[in-house]
Amino acid sequence: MLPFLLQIHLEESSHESAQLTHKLVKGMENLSQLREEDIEVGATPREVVYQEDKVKLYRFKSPVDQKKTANTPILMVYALVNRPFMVDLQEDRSLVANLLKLGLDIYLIDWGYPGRGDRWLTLDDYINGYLNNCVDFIRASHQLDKVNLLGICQGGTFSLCYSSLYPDKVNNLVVMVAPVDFHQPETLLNMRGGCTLGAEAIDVDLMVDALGNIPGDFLNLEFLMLKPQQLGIQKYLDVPDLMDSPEKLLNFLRMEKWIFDSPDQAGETYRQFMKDFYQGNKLIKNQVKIGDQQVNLLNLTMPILNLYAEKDHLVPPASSLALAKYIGTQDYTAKGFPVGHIGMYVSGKVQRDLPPVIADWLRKRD
Amino acid sequence: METSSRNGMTEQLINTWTDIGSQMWKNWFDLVGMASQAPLQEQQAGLEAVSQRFFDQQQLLARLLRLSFHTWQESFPQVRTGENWQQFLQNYSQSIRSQLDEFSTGMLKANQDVGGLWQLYLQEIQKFNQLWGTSLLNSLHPLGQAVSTAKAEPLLELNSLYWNLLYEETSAGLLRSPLLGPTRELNGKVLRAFDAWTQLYRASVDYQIVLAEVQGHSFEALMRELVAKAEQGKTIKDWREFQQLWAGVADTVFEQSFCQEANLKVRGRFLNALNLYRLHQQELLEVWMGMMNLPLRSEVDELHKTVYELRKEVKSLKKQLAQLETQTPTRTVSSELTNPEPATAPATPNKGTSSPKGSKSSRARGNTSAPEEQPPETPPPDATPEA
Repeated sequence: MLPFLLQIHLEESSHESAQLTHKLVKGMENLSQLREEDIEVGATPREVVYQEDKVKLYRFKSPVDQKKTANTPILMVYALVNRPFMVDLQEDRSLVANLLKLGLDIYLIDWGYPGRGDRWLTLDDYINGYLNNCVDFIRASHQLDKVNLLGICQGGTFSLCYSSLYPDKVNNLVVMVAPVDFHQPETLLNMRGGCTLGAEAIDVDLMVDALGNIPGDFLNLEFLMLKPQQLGIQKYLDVPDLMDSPEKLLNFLRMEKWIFDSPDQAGETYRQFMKDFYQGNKLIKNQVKIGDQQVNLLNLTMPILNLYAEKDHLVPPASSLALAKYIGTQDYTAKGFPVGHIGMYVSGKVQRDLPPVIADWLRKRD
Repeated sequence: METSSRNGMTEQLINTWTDIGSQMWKNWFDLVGMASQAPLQEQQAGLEAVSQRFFDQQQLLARLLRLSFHTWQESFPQVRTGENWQQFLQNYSQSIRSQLDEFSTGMLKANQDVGGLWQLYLQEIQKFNQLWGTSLLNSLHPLGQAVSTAKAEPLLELNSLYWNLLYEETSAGLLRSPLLGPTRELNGKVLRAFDAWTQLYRASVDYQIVLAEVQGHSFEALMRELVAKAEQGKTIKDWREFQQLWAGVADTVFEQSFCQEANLKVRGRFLNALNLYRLHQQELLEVWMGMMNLPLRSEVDELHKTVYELRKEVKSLKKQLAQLETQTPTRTVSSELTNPEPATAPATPNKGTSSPKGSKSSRARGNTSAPEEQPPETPPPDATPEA
């Protein structure tokens, strides 16, 4: 048994080196032929059906021959962090497209890019304002009392708050990789957010006062620093391996675009979210106030489907699964998938298994 | 003999590999530079600077990996023969730490420079401030020794000692005391900003110490992992596998280290000091902008807030008006006011109002179009932030 350095043969190394060079040359050729528009995300045709300030409500167009299999439309509520088109990254990796194929009617909220003028927007504006108005629009358009909500990540937390405040407007609630219990001492993101130390870990008031809106680049850096070597170095060292395949290169670049296309966070919203949710863990204590209303998770009496990623390093399963302990409904289902946070949207296996789970669950309760 | 020649060969291979990697990236940037040549000639310098930075980072990474390789190379025969490989690891860890020692010394020398500058500035009014430079210099040696213990705590403590004894209890008191004369306000702001900057500097040194410690630990963890794998008969097959292992191990150590509250507090102090300094910086900038008769950031913020509040109020009033219209359909309340855009969707939902349970708050709606219709190309005025 010898260490690998002593096992390396010159001819093998030369061969490997030649292969790598070949890939690189081919990769450079592929890269030089690509343009920014080639890596646009959001593949499924859609139209803006409602707009308020910078917020847009999209409705996705179903395939022409697709028959509707459920009456109640789904409103997807994505996080404020990053753009919502992760759910529709590209044609063959699209949660939206897969749900449309199963006969569901899909709406999606795009929160837009908050500018300095939006610095004073609060969670009240997002939840009681924009989200509620989008729901009302869909209810009115479809002549329905209630809609189905599909909240993703931070959008899942928003959906929980909204459904607690407006239970009479939500038929079914699906939450995906949604943080609920923010006290997670084993999870770096929560620790850095101050789940145990509060302002000693990060003084959110000071940060918002100093920066106004929180730059998307700061959040990106925070996410990168959760796995600095793998996300900051290793990932790019692996690029030559995929550069010779135009398809893989496109996938990689699209993901890069999505990751680094990060809107700034409206200062006051960030302040409340970090202090009340991450540091105060007030959601499960029923102490969160949105506007003048207190969020009480016991008001969640509608059927709930809780989808989580078993290897999630951003929202650990324990954080999502805690929901079961605090809600008022008897119709609660939790289902895990053996992937990480991002894998929930892009993994081929999950994209095969997840949409039918959502569609079947909703149809039974339509 | 054979082993030694192989070692030489592998050494060369590693060098070749890392050189190729570096050259590869350099070529890549050159290529990109060439591609954007014609229209972006003026950006060439910037691009080259970015290339150089990236190139330097690659070299840094290569150096660390080389060192890791050498450690593994030398300690492996000990593992095979059951000898004390830990001693080898310790020696290399020591080598890493001595590099960190140099780094810390460099940082402290920079501290010393700062102290010297500050000394010049205040020497006319505060003679005892000369303690600074001398004491810092005297502390370099014990600090270096602390580095060799592989623990961050002594270093943090020492850094804290510097600042408490040499700054907090001397210059800082003066800096924070009320000033005199017509320029007292401006001078006060300058001194407070300087104070915030020194706090940031102190916090930054602490944070760098912790990061250096984490790097040292990740190196040790990598070596342990390699030995453990070798003992299980799982050898690393190639260079890339080694890199992947290194990245995984380093990140695990990083995660564990920063889940510890002591380290998190150090990071928190750095982040908070950074934001505090920024606030003071803005305050000073506003003084200058005021003198130049330019709009201040705080004034723009205030305007934004007013617009935000007014917009919110208008939305609320519109909603109330729409509700009134619904309740009294025979009355001719101006519908243009409540719904100026060519909305085709129902103005109100088909059941109840949109207020939350028991809430008195309300939100007006933006512009709408029926799901099947295209939205208006230009949103109506009341749907834009400028309205």
